[in-house]
Order: sequence, then structure tokens, then C-alpha cells
Amino acid sequence: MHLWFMDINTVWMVPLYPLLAFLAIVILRGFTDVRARVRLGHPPTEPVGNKMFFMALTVGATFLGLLHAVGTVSWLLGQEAGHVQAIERNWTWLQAGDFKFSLGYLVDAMSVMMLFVVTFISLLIQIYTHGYMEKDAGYAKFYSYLALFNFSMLGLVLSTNLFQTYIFWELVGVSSYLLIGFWFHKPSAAAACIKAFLMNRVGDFGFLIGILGFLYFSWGSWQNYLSVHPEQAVLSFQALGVLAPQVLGAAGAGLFSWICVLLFMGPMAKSAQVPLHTWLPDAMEGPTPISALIHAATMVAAGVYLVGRLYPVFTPSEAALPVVAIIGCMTALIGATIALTQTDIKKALAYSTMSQLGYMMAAMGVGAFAAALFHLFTHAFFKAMLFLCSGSVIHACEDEQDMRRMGGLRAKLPLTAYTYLAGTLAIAGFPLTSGFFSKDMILDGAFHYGAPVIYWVLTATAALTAFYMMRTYLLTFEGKYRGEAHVHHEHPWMVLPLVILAVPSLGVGYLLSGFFSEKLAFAHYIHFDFVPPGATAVHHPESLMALLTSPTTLISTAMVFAGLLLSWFFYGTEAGRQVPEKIRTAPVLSSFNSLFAHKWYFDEIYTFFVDKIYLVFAKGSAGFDRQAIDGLVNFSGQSVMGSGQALKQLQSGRVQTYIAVMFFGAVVLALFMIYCLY
Amino acid sequence: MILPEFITNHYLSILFLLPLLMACIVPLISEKNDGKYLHWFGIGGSALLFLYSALGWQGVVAPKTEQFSWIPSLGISYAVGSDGLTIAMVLLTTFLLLMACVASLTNIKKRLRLYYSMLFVLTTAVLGVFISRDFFLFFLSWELELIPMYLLIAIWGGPRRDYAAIKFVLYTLFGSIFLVAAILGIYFYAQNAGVLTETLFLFDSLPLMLGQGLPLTAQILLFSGLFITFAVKLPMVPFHTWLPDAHVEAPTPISMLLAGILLKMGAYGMLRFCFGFFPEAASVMAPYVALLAFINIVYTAGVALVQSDMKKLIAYSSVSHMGFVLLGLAALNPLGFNGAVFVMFSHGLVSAALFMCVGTLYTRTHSRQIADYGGFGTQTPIIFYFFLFMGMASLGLPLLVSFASESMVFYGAFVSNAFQQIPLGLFTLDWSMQTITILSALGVVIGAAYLLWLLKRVFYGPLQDRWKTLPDASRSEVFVLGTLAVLVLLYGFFPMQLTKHFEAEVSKIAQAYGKQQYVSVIPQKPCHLPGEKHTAKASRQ
Amino acid sequence: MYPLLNQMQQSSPLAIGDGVTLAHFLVLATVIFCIGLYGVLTGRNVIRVLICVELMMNAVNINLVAFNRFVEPTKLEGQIFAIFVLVVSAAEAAVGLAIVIALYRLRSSVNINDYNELKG
Repeated sequence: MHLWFMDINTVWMVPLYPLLAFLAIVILRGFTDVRARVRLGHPPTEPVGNKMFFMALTVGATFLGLLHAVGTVSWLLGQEAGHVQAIERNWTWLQAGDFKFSLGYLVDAMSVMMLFVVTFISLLIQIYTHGYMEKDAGYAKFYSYLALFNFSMLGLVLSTNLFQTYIFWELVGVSSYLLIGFWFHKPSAAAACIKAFLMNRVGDFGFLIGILGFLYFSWGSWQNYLSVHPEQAVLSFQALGVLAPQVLGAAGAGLFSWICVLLFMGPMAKSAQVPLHTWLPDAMEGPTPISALIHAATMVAAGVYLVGRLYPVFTPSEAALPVVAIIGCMTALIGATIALTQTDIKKALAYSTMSQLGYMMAAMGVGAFAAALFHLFTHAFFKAMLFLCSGSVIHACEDEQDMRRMGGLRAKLPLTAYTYLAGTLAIAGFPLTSGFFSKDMILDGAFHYGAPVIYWVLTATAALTAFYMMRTYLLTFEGKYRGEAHVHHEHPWMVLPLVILAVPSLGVGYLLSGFFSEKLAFAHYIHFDFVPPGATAVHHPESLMALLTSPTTLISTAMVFAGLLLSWFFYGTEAGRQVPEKIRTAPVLSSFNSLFAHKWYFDEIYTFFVDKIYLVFAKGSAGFDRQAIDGLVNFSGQSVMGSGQALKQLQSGRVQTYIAVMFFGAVVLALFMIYCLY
Repeated sequence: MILPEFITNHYLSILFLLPLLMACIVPLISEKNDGKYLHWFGIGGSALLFLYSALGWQGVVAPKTEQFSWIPSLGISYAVGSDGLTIAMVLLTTFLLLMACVASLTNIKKRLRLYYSMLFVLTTAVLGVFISRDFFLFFLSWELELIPMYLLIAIWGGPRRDYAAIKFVLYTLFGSIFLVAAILGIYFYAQNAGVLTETLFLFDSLPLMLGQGLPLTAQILLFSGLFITFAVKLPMVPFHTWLPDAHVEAPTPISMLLAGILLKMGAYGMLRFCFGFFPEAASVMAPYVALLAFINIVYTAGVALVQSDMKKLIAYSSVSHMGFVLLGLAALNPLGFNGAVFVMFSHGLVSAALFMCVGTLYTRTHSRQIADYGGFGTQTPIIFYFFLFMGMASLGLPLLVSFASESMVFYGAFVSNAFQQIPLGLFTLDWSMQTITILSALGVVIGAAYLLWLLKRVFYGPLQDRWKTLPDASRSEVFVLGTLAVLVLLYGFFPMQLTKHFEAEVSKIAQAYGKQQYVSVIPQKPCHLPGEKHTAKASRQ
Repeated sequence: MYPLLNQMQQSSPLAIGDGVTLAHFLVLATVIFCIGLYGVLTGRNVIRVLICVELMMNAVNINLVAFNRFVEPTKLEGQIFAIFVLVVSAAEAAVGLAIVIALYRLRSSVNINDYNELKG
């Protein structure tokens, strides 16, 4: 039987399903709501339609997308590994003169991977959402936003060129803005959503300039290139690698590195890399399914994906990848250290996400291309699961998020607790979980990179990760219950996705590490043959056994166990319970503690910059506008009025003065005529 | 559809005079029933006008150029004509007039006869500006527009309406001095050159005439004169301060027209005259235009950020966005010019809608101070979502109409070869077109900041008790905002549906700038393939 | 010293009596005119101002007649003009006095300084 979704040429439909679902919800739900408000003056008292219908629309759209994803996966498996012939198609979207902006779809191993991750996780989270948002007034609205996000994200994944990427890049940003501010009556949510959008705008500004810079230096080459590759478009990803050396030649090494760094600003903001990361923890104001979907699994990982797409541009530059590595490394460390001090379960997970994204970026920077994307892949599963678990906990504890008022929840929420533990082990890199494979591939790549400091920072971060993740687990699920709220039971709709996600969280690394079949090895499809400067050779762990026995794995596994055990000692035993408090008050360590607890003072610095510098400048401009420019305008008007006022004094109203002036005027005129004209 | 031959032959003249006819009919209509008949005549008349102009837009009628001698001794003729650019602006005008008439339902309560006749006279004048093909007729329409606009602000405006209306008129008249000077300049140049003919001021013959060895200095003078005229209307910093006052005081429908159409007259004039007639002068002046564009975008965005009056904030944002028109024009290439025209359109839709949103809130609360608001998202969700949507459109969200237009401007400006540095008399500013574009792109960030901050302060957070009984948008308001929203979305998704109408025409104007309109970067070093380069490096180690 | 006057004296075809020339008439007219002007400029009483205006007009009349007599003796334009001026000034005096009476009823004053309604 021939099914349409197995055909690779129908991939363009994938983003359209959620778009149609979005429009359908807006029209069906929005129109009835507007009509009721306009006619009656108040919102409809009866629920509009069946709630499940809106859910079915969104979930159905995502499910169709997942079918396509399965189709593309089967297409990928049918290709000869290592030589995937990408499929690209473009349509002109906007044209001026002979310049065209195009939209289209690009199917290759990377986009297939992302397509699968996005649709799979979205589907599960949309099912979970029903349980989480069941009693919320904005149920249908929430599903419409989810569909909008899915549209944007899938469009981003399938982008053929940088211009299209920019479009969907911004659209995922706005979906994120809408969803963070979903409960907009809360001032904290209102502040968080605007912060997220603006910080991403700053990144997008750099991204846009980077795109323009690349276009500027490759301007003359596109016509020739596109005449050879008519199916591609201006700024096509597939063309970037071909044209990057030309751009390097035209721009020179310094300018080219700047273009790369500007391009990297987009991923920096989207993937919450230092210093554009502060929006991500605040984004936890959004409903938890959003934190799982957008701010953990998919959208924030898009930055890593884009760096992967831009790899052919970054590799010719001498500075680009080292910058990526350094930024990623800093993010990994800073995120992990802040996560140590967090008491809010979602905030802790958010900093953990930030740290893991830093991991991926660092991996990109050190040339471990496949490892970075593999970590993206595995991280999506277990981080989504962890967030969903936290959502289950928050839902059960009546919106309590502070871990100090939790504890012992395993009794009431057994499935949540076990899946959370599975996620903790996976993210910590416990041997043979999925996180273990991807993380150790990264560490392996970092080990073979020229700068040992990066390797050691990443290894230390691995230990920290194990420590703080175990801490969150222990504080939440073990010990005695410390809160006041009545703990509800798990919601069946919310447990199902958790259990499903636990499977890939634990097993997908094993499956795709190439142990079972070469055909299934992740790195055989997604790879980039490139030797970073300073590295010795292209390094691929040959087999599972080689990975398991390599020194880096042994070191990192030892660190992970140390982290887990220390955490257990501190938070799981009576003897160690006092230690964290002592550390907090110890002389040197306390200053570290306050540095971490204040999130390295990034927010303070930004607040200072915006409030004290930019707003003052803007107020100055406004004052200048009012006082100087408008003042000049009013002055010119008033000077005319004033001179009129002054001159009117001459009109005394006394006839005799007029006559006198007239007479003397006549005399002067007569004298003038007599002496000068004759 | 088969139309009578008379209409097809005199399509444009009828378009020109139809609103005038309506303005004459309006005083005959009864003001009874709270002006119900007048309102419906206004809406019906503008709808008729809109449909009539849509005939030309959709190509049902191919508008014919009409021309006959008017004052032969001075070389003045009556000439109307149309091309893609004109018909696009005409459609925008009639469409926004319809929207403004619907918006008048809830916003205008007094002296309706005078109101509607002035509205139609205004339309005639604006249409005259767009369709005239004779410089003198253009000037006449340009000046005619002032009178109804003055009255519309001065009679139906807010508390400081007299000040605002006088300021508007005086500012524009100040600009018109330069227009008169430029017209006289052309006239006397023609006299000296001995080419004084009966068709002296016709657009078609002007460039030909001016091409007859007009010295560059004279070209620059004429360019600058016209530029100042249009810059006042655009408005461009530092000639912009009439706009915040006029917008704040004008009633909502007039604000919509002011932002949607009247500003476009300036932009239109710039493209057609300054950049269309004087390519040599434009090439010389492009650096300054770009510099002013940058100041316009970034400076007014900063000013908008700290406004405490909602309508003033939107007014400044409107000024800021008109800076993109200048930037696109300074690019001197088809991409930039098309982008500039497209910005006119997108700005016309989006800023009109934003003014409508602000007006909708104002009619409910009678306050424009942002500090009085907060938490309206829960009380008036319809207004909130429209405001949010239009705010997103204004800050350039992709797949909404502003994004496509601003992208064209940015791409066009960035790959433009217009200039490498800006000579400023005493010193030379070493900024190329690319530098200016990068700096102007900052406006996009600030634009997002002020709009989102506005949304946050007005709609987000908790609601004050005194607003708990406010009604949401009414039917006519939903109609206006909904129609605009549909267009913003439609043209955002399918921008070619809009650009195809004027693309050819505008690209033709850009052709005068020859081959130097785009960069041509030649690699200074021989290319390496990535593989080669790095294996070489690897083997070295 | 006065080129215009000298020219006139030389060209005058006729003299009256013992060397009474045009200049004598002009000087007389000037003196009367200046007296009138002085009165107009200094007078505070509107009636006096009006009378002084009459004086100035009569000075002009002397000029008109004298010039006619000395420059174009064969024609009568100057005399006719003078009669016109007399007629008009009579009418003007009538209207002026009527206005003065009306003003007096309004303000109970004929002081010219009380009437500065057109002050800017």
C-alpha cells in the first residue's frame, strides 16, 4: 500500500498540519468567543465546543507530522549510510529585481533527526498537556499556541536557507513569548516573556547581520552557483560550504570570523549561552509542558542544530569554533554551578538545561559534530521527561515549586519518582543510559581537542551535573514530606508520556551507538569530516567496547559516581544533612555560594545597563526631542509672535504720531530725491 | 465585466472627482438619528470608492492617461495617469478611507456633515497627489490636502487641537516653500534652456528636459528642495515634531488616515521625484539620506521607548518605521526601492491598526496615559489580541507584512553599493552603507522593546478595580481591526501578491542607477576548498 | 542752492508786480502749511486739528493756483483743482465735524488722545 507520508516529496506538508490546526482553533474558538463578547458583552458562559476537540486537532496534526517523520526515517535507512543525498526544494516567496527570497524544505540526516525528535516529543507533551491544563480557562488557547509553536519549529527544522531559518527562528521565539506569558496576569510571567523575547531579539540582531554579511561577500557568486544548482536558493545551507571559502577570501580572516561570531549570536540567544542566557530560567514562568517542550527539548536545542547547519561556514574560520567551544564551556560550568543552589525544582532543571546546552555547544566547538547532535537527541528525551515529572509533582502539590517544601513524594507519585530517577541517571551519564553515550562521545571529542582545559571543565561539569540532579531527586522524592499542601495522585494522562519517554531516555543511546548494527549508528548518518585546529585526527570511537574502555569514559564515570554518592551523602543520609549548611557558611565557600545563588550577577549587570544607561539615554533623547527640536520649532513660532508684539507698539493709535512720522518720512524722501536723484 | 466606454476612458478623472462629488452630496443628508444616515453614507461612499479603485488594481480597467492643456502660457496641463506604484497607493488610500469611515461610527459624534465632506475632500486631494502626472496639479493637490486636514484636527481633535492643527499646517507649509522653489527652479531652468513648452510640468517630459545638461549643482539644489518638502511630510528627524502632536490630538479615524496615507505622500514624492528625476543628485546625496534614515530609525525608537502617552508612543514608532523607507531609498537598488514602497504599504496597514487599537482603548477609559492601564488582557481580550497581533506585526514578526518589507529594505541596503563614506564638510565619516544598515537594525531591537513594554504595561499584570466594568471591542471596531489583521496576515504570508503590482515599475526607477547598485566583491585571496586547507594545516602539525 | 526753484524762476514767463515770483507764493504756502502741520501735530482738541487740516489744504490750494499761473498761464487746471479741493474739504469738514460730535457724545471729550481705539 502506498501511503502519502512515506513519500519524501510530501514533507512540505509537515509544518502545514499544525498551522491549519492553529488557524482552525483560532477561527472556531476565537470567532465564537468574539461573537459572544460583542453581542452579550461578556465571554461565553457555556464552554465552547468540546475541549477534547481542540486537543484532537493539535494532537492529530502532530501525529501526522510524526508519520511523516517515520517516513523520512525509513527513507534515511534506505540510503547508503555516509552518503545521504539531501533533497531540497524551494519556492520563491518574495522577489525584487532579480533577487529572490525562497522558502522550501531540505531533507537530510540532520533534519530527519530533528523532525523525529520534534514530532515525537511534541506528541507526547500534547497528550500530557491535557492532564496538566484540564482545569485551566485557556485550554483551547494553549493548544492553539502549541500548534503555532509546532508549525514554527517544524518550519525551522526543514529550512533550506538562512533566510527561511531566520523567519522560523523568530516565529519560535514569538511562540515562546506567548507561552511564557500564558498566565499574563502574573507580573512575573509578564516580565519573563518580554525578557525572553528581547534577549532573543538581541541574538537575532547579530544573526541577521551575520546573514547579511555572508550575503554581502558572496553576492557575486550566487547567480553562477544557482545556475548549476537550480533547485537551491540564495543562502541555501548546501551552498554555504561551497561559498564559505570565497567569502573568507573576499572578507579576510578577521572580518570572516566576525561574520561567524555574529551568526553564532542567534544560537547563543536561542540556546541560552552565556551571556545571553538569563531569559531561560525566567522562562519557567510558563506552564510546565512548555518548559518541557520549548525550553528543554526542542526550541532551545535549535541553536545547536543551527550551529550544525552553519558548520561549513564556521570550519574555515580560525576563530569561530574556538569561540563556540569557549562559550559552550562557560555556559556548561556556569549553568551547573547555579543549579547547585536552586531550590525551585523548575529553575534547577532550567539551569541544568542551560548547562547541557553548553555541553552541546562545546562539543560543536571542539569538532565533535556528531556527538553534539547525538547529545541533543538524547537530551531531548530525558530532559523533556524530567520537566514533565516536575510538572506532575507541581500539579500534585497544588502548584508548589519549592523543593524545600517537598520530600517523600515517591510514596504518592511512584511512577513519577521512578521516571525522574531514570532521567536523573540518564542526564548524569550513568553507564549504559542514553546520556552516558552522548556525553562520553562529547568528552572523548574534547579530550582529543587541543585545549585540555575544555576537557577538564566539561568533566567537572559532568560531576556537578550528577550531584545537583541527584540532589533534586532526593529533595523531591525521598525523605519526609515537608510541605503543607495536600498531595494528589498522579494524573493518568500525565503518567503515560512519562513512561513512554523513559524508554528512549534509557535505551536510545544503546540502540544508536552502533552496537546492534552499523546501519543504526548515529554517527554514520550525521557526521562532518573536519579536523579542528589543534586536534590530532578525526576521532570516531570504533565500537561500543572501545568507548566503554577509553580513559575518558573511565574518568567521567568515576566523576559521575562521585557526584551521585556525594549528593546521596549530603541529601540522603542523616549524617551528611548538616554539611550543605556548613558549606554555605564557610568563609571562602560562602562567597562562591552567593555568587552562584545570585546567578553570577548577570541580571544585575543587564538591569544596570538597561536602567542606568539605555533608559537614561532614551530619556535624554526624548528630552532633546521635546526641548531642543520642538523647542526650536516653538521658538521660531514664538519669535514671530514676539516680533509682532514688539512692532505693534508702533501702532500707538494716536493720529498725530502717525502724521508726524508720515511728514518726516515725506521730508526724508524729498531730500533723498533732491540730493541723490538729481 | 463590461463597463461603459466613458468610464474606461476617464477612469482616473472619475476616481479623482468622485470623492469631491460625495463631499458635495454630504451636506444634503439629514443629521437625524444621531447622524445614522451620514455614517452610512460615509461608509457606503467610501466602499464604493474602494470597489471602484479595486477595478484598476485588479486590472479590470486599464487606467488611461488623460491629458489636456490647462494654462498653456505657463506650460501647465491637467494630466492624470497611473502605473503600478500609483494604483497601489490609490488602493491603500481608498481602503484606509473605508476603514476610517467605519471607525468614525464610534469615534465621531459632532458636526458630521462637515466631517464627512472634509473627509472626502481630503481623499480627493490625496488621490490627486498620487494620480497627477503634471507637477503643477501635484502641487495643487498637495496644498489642497492641508485645508481639510487642518479642520479635521482643529474641530474634532483633543484638548490641544488648535496648537496641533496650526503646527501641522505651518510645518507643511514650511515644506511647501521648497516645493514651490523647486517648481520655479524647473520653470526658470526650462526658460533659460529654451525648452519652455506647453507640457513643461508633465512627469514624462520632465526627466527628459532635466536630462538636457542640467548641471549637477542645480540637480542637487532641486533634489534637496524637493527632499525637504517630502521629508516634512514623511516625517524625518528633525522635521518630525508636528506628528506626535497631530496624532495625539487628532481623533482616531484621522490618526489612521494621517499615519496610513498622508505620510505616504511624502515617501511617494521622494521616490518619484527626488530619486526618480535626479539620479545623479541622488547618488551624491545618498550618504546623507542614509544617515538621516539611521537617525530616524534609532533616535525616534529611543524616544518612543520612554513616552508615557500611549498614542505618542505609537506616533513615534510610526516615525521610526518611516525611517526604513529612507533607508530603502538610499540603497539605490531595486531591492531597496521595492522594500521602501512595500514598507509604505505595510506601515499603512499596521500603524493605522495600532492607532485604531489605541483609540479603542481611549474611547473606553478616556486616558492615554500608560500608567492608568494595566491588566487589560483579562478585561478586554479582543482588544488585547488585536493589539498583540498588530504589535507583533509592527516589530517585524516574520510572516506578517512588515517583516517582508523590512527584510527587503535591510537586504537591499546591505548589498547596496551606494557609498563608502559620508563626507561631512569638516571631516569624513567613515561609514559605508553597510555600517548604516547594521546600526539601523538596532532599531528592530528597540522597536521590540518599546512595543512589548507597552503591551506589558497596558495588558499584562493585575487589573485596577475601576476598569472592571469596561466593555470589550464593539462590532465596528472588531470589523476594522479584523479586516486589517486579515490583510496583515495575508500579505505577510504571500507578499508577492502585493509586490507584483508595483515591482516592475519600481525596479524601472532603480534602473537609472546603472550597474553600481549592488556590491561586487572580488575575492582578494585565491580560494581554498575547506578540505585542502585543513588537511594542509593538520599535516603541518 | 535750490536748482529746481532756480530753474522755475528762470523759466517763468511772467512776473507779478515788483518782482513777485513763484518763489514768494511757494514760501507763503509753505509757511501756511507748516502752521497747519504744527497745529495738526500738537493740537489736543479735535476741532483745532480739523481746522489746521483745512489750513494745510489751503496751503496746497495756493500752490496749485500759483503753479498754474506761473507755469501754464493759458490753462485753468490748477484753479479747477483748487475748487475741487475746496469742495471736498468742505464735505470732509462736515463729515469730520459730525464724527467729532458723535465721538463727543460717546466719550464726552474732544481730546484727541482719548481716541486710540486702533492701538496695537
